[in-house]
Amino acid sequence: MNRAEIVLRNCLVYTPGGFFDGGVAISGGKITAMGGCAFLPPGEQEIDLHGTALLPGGVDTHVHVRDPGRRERGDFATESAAAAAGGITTILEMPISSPPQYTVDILENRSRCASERSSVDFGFYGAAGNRPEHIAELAERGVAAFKTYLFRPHAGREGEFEGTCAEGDGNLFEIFEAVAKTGKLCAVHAENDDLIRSFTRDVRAGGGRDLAAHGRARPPLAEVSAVAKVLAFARATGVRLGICHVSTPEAMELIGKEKAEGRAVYAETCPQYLFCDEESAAPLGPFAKFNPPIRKQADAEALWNYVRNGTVDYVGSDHGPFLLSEKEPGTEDIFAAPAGSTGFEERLPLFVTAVRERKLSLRRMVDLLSANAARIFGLYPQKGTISVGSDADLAAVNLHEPFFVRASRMKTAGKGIARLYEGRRLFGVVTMTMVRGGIVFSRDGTLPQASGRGRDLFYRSSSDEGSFQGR
Amino acid sequence: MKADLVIRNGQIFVNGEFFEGGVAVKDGKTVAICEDRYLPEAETVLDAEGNPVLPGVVDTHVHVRDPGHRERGTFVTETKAAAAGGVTCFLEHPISSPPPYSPEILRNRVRVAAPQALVDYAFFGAAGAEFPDEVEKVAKEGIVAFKTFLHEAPEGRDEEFRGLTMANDGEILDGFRAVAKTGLILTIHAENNDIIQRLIRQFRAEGKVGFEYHYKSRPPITEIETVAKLLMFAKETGTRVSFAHISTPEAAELVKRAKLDGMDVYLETCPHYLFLTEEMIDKYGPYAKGNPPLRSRESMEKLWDYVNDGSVDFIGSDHGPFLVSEKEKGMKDIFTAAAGPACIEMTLPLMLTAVRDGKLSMRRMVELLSENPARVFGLWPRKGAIRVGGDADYVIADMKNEYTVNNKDFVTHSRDTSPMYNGFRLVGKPLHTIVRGRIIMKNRVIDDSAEGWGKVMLPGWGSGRTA
Repeated sequence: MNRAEIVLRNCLVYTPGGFFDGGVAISGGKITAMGGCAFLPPGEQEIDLHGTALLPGGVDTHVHVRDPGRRERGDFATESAAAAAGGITTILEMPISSPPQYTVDILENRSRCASERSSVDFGFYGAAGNRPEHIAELAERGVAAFKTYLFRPHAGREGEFEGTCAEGDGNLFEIFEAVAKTGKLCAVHAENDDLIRSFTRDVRAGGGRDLAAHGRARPPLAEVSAVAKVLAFARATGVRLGICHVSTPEAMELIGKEKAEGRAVYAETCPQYLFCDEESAAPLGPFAKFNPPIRKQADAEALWNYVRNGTVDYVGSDHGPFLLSEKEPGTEDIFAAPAGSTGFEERLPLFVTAVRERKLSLRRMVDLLSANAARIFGLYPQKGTISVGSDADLAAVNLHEPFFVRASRMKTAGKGIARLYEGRRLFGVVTMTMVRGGIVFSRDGTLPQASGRGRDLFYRSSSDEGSFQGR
Repeated sequence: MKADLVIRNGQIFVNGEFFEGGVAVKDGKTVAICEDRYLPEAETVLDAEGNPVLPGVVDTHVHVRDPGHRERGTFVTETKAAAAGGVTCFLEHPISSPPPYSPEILRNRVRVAAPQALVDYAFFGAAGAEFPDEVEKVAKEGIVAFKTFLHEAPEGRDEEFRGLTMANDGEILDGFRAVAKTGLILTIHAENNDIIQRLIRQFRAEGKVGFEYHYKSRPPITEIETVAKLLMFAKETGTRVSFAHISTPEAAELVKRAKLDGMDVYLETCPHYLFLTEEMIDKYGPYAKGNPPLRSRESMEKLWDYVNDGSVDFIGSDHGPFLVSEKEKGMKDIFTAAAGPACIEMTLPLMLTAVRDGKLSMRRMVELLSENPARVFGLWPRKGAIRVGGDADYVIADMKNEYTVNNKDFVTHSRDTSPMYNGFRLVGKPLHTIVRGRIIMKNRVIDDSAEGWGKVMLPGWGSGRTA
């Protein structure tokens, strides 16, 4: 009988219809057989997974690795190792960098940095802001999608937001029209900047400096009004619209109605809006600061309805490490800290635990963490599924082993700020992660030389025509 | 380990996409899905010759009148027709003599079907206002759902509709409440009988009994109004309802809205509402007569929007065999002809041709024909997908060669009643049909010795880890 290169045996292999006892065979980085152990081919290398679950590797739609601009916060080596530790095998990197990738040259440079250092596969969002003349060329050379921010760059971080923020509605319309022509999705950070500036002024004038003050400065209305606007703009331009990190049930309701009309609108949410609430996160101050902010408990609970009913298409971690020194000033004044935290290593266990608590089905979990994103970003069935012919991007996960979240054990360079879930008891221990058949994470610590294994799934540099894989 | 059966050189449909390779079967289950070079050895090897290997069709709407009216077709003849259409499991609707409104009648139907059937099957239970106490008992006996009609029995068919009707709003409310307690789905034939009967009376009085008065006596409003009303009853009683054979985009829109409101409702349509128009009634008269009737071209085209946007959950054939003599009566008076097409063999080729023509995706087609029927009626994941651990139910269809439909080639006993598709040029003729690992049809030849191979399916089987 023909030998496969690698055979994973004795695991519970995920299919949309449930698990089967057996394994998969891998050759040339692709899955070539799946079946009961007695019917699998022999492998040159055989790995016994001891009854753990084998899931499709995660596709994370919302990632901030600031390499090369701000490597002190973490680079593609450290952060892709964290992704792998969280069972994530494909990351889609956002444009906040120094500078954001709004031209092909900047993109090429970032892609090269990631190729040298990343252990997982990746793609980049192109920056779509006040330089829309570059959009067509970026799309042609290969981006996963585009990203637009509706706010003016944060004070002191202008370089990190150059070319990725829309300067008013006229510019936004122009951006959507340009992206629509490419057929790519335009992801939007939808918060109403005018409202936020006005509310922030008022909140600060009233002495607000704590996490709740941050929430009051960016209330649900800021998100809902911006979402309503971008939906209208998408309708008018025909752009495929992705709405990032949706945090309110009201915005989800608007998006659900738009989907029902048959429009190509996709909703992302993030773990912090489902598993955290403003009340209990209050003591964490800047370490629980996100944009949009973590909402009230009732909002978080209502948001789950949209996870279950199909309105939410995918979950992005919004992984964005910062230095402790950047977050600390926020303890005195929340407005002095940058927004964001880590998320790669927390995402899968949070959802596995939710599945155990029957908040969603296992299938829905895999759809949200892997399959849907692969479909919507044009990577399916290469990514997002365990199928014959698909990339062997796999996460072996012990679904029944509890553990306590400890930032000190994390791989991310942002472990110093990873306080949001510290001490929480979760299930879902990743024991091994594979990217195209190569092990990029192993729980026993004997990590192979994984850095540099990752490939850009979209970008085609002028010198390597052959490596293009995305569609 | 040696497998019982290997299918190689196929386009295997798994997780929404095709790959080139094969599958292996042991003890009726799929045990491996792989590139050909890694297939295990097997007792029997079937070459798919590069054709698609799809999950067997799970037909949500089939009438076999055995026992009761065996002259129209038996479990032998009609499950052979199913196999010829790539249908590996069907859900039998309860018009028979008598309908299964009690555990005893249901057990008898299973007894009758068991030695005859070549493919798997499951039963709907009859839910009517006549025997409310039986509803819970039938539910426990092992049915996939209930079926009810909203009118009294048609002329001369009292026995066939016994215990199967909720003939007025009071009965509907009672009936819905009884079914709601069981947690099972209630499938409904939704047409407003008051309007229909009045129109028929008026047309008859005027001597208008020609072909066209079939659809003129059952205008779209009869379906739309009833769907709207029943959605209210479903909301009030918490009953899970499935609307059978929906023929109008307006009714589909109502169901779509109800789904958006979070209601647990399902929508079935049939191939004839997607491929035929009322012109066929003008042409073929009683042979194209079904309830609800075929609609206008505009209506038919609009219905496709709901197929594609996810509102339609599944496509059932509404296969209903009759004798030519029962149809022929309608040549003189359309109202006296029996209603229903015998077209279980047409669903897959029609839909595969639509896929080829870009009217829907292959993934959506498999959802509508296999996956969703299995999921909604509790047969998933044993049925409805090609997956390791699932039943080895496959159909291999010829996508390379076009053929011309001729009802004389049908396998159903009622072949002479279904000429509507004659002359259609289609692809997707099923070549081989496999039920739980047994080749029931090979190169269009049905294995007569497989009578009795088909098994009755009960919901909730086969979840979790199997391989």
